[in-house]
Amino acid sequence: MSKARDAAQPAAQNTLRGTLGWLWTVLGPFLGLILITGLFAWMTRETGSFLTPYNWRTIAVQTVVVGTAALGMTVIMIAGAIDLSVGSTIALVTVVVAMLVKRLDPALPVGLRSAGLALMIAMGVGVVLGGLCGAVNGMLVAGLRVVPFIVTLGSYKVYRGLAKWLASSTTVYVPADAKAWWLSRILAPEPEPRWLMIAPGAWALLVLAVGLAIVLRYSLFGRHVYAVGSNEATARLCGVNVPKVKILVYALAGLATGLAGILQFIYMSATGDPTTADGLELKVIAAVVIGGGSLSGGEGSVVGTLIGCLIMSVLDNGCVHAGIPNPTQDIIIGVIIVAAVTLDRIRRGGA
Amino acid sequence: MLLEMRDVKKSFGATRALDGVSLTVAAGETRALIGENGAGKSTLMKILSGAIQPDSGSLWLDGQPFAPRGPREGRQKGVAMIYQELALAPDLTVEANIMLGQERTQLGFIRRRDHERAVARALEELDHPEIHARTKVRDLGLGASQVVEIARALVSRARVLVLDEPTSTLTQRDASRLFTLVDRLRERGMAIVYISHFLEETRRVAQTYTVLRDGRGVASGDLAGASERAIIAAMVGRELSELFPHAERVPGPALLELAGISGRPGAPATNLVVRRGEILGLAGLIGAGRTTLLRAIYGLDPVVSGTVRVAGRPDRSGSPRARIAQGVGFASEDRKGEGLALDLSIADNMTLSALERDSRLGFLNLSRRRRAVLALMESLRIKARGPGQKAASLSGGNQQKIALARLLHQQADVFLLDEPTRGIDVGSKAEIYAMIGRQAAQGRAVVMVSSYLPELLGVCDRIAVMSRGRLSDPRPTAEWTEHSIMEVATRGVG
Repeated sequence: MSKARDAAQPAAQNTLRGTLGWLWTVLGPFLGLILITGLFAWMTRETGSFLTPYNWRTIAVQTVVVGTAALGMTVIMIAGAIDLSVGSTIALVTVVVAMLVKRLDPALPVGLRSAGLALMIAMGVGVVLGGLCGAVNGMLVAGLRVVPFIVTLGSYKVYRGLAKWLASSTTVYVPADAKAWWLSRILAPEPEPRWLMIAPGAWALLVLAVGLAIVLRYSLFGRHVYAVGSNEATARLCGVNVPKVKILVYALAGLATGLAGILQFIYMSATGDPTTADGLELKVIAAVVIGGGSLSGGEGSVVGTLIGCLIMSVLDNGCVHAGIPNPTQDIIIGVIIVAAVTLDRIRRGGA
Repeated sequence: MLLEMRDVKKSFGATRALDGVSLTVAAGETRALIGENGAGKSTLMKILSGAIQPDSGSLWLDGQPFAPRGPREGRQKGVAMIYQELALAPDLTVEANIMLGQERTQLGFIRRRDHERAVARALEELDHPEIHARTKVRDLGLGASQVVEIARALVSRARVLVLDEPTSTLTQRDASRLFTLVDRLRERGMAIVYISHFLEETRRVAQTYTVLRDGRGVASGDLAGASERAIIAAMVGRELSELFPHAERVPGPALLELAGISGRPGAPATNLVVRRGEILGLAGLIGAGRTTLLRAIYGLDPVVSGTVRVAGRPDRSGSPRARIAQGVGFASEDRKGEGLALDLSIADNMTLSALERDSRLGFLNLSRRRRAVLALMESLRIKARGPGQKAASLSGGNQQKIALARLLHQQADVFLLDEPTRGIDVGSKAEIYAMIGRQAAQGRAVVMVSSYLPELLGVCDRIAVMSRGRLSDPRPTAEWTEHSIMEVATRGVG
């Protein structure tokens, strides 16, 4: 009887601590988000253009591409790896999707053309292509035993090169009649129907995030990802198939990147651009890190990443509304990245 | 007294590492600091070096109060440390290493002449003129590297020299040269603190001793008048017989059979049979091949030839995953580097090898897993806030219990334990011995590698000795003594 109570008491305490710890890791970035929002609200108090529902719907749309890619990057960074090829993969996907639509659409019967079947097929191929790009990264990392930084530095160049080669280094436009009616709605700041509140693409991001959070927390695969990122030797000792986990992690992240590529394709109103999303990977990594992810692996959360992405978007958007010139904006973002990670370190050190 | 430490106390969180330790060393004296891992030796020496600061107590150097705020200040005031893990830059030359941090400069440029002269003089004094100043440290042996560190201390005009387990990685020849060197430095008037596990070795180099246990100084005096038995009793804090609860066990059928196992091409083949209900000890020197053998059985290192048979099923080499499925469990000697993922929770660490047990369709049932982990924590008396606490924040003993609890959770039948009690407190040791005994009594087979002979003699039913990759025939523990084990370990298996 008393034994059970003795065991239960610290357990209850720990649950509380665990919850508080979790709250704090999410709350830290969240407080940052509120602080930045408040700051911009104050700076734009004369025009009042920043704190409007429309602007926040715009911010949501502006977050979608980075957010989707950042979900993939979160998994990779929890596994202790990195992916520098994200921007190039997105460019490659936009190019391939645009070219496919251009080829496929004229070949389809009229009824299917107006429904946008060519777009759907091409977008499906785009997601799979992203997964393939990721899987190749994963196989090289697991097979060659070269550090992820170098492997993906290579594929960063290769995928970009492929995109340019396929597109003959120019933008690939999709003919206007191949753009189905629904395409522009996916990322419309004012969604239809109105009760959706935010663009369908943003909803897709949220659903994806919830799914990923569940997988990371409850699935064996998720636990294996944390284990590999935290200590690869321990994972191997415990019978985790480390190469398989790495390949799966990259493939899964690649699917997310592929989806981000499609969203970018839509965002650019259905064009394939081999030079788009240049340097996006750094923005994505920054978002994950601001959200509590660690370059040494084993840490990071979906919620944190999403907040990190919002912080990045709010900064971009807010600076425009506050009339802060672009160079200053770069400096501010740079400072915030370092400050966020420093604060996180201090918090951990003090805990 | 050249060095005096008075009533030094230091706590880390809730753990009291030092609970009022006093220590004195005179010029021209070598004092052996003896104690088990976790007794507080390293903490005491870190305080002396300035790497950490004591909570209370005082340090005196040559009659002056000495309170270094960092290792740099400690060095400047004449305290030099030689750690087990040498602190050398492998790609720099001997000369650059010796002068590192104490360069003689003029207008920011190094005065090469001075450097050459200082290094040559130091190596001369240490009677190692054969070490060339331009050699890269990478190309030196361990013994010579250690001399380079000592030379660095000499150049810095150190008056107090601390050697932490200096012979643990040395060959016998290098070790005896080191002893001569230590004597020479002592005769020059240095005060030397010599940390070691090996009692015979401390008798060779030191005149006085202090024994630490659980953060307290429990015995000290002249080594000449102290019996080995008394020193060991002070180290362990109880009679050894209390530590090892020995139960009569009846060995059952063979469970693990090795036939001609070899982990490297050309390495000697090993044959071994371990029965249910039996604890088999593997003794031998570090590097003799015991760890390699365990890892090969478990599939962490390749098996070049031979077969491993678990419960009658032959299988040449398995991956850890396949071995776990066959009921084999392995606990690594490298707790922090391999045994545990320190950033993960107790629960994750304990269940990582058998997550399927608490899951359905690839998804975990967290509350069921939590119950399983709580039960294991209670039965092994793991002191923690709860299953969610990070492994990193626990003491070594509790961490080791988690690594072993993993084998219980995966319901292993064969326990491969590599140094299962290294570096943990005596209380945890006793609990781990009891756990190993219980598992054997329940019909599990245990293979245990240990470099601590009293432990092997106290816990095992049979012991085999490995020497240069060759394993002796296992014999009942009663037929071995520490002496006979060491004889086989050092002279080779005939």
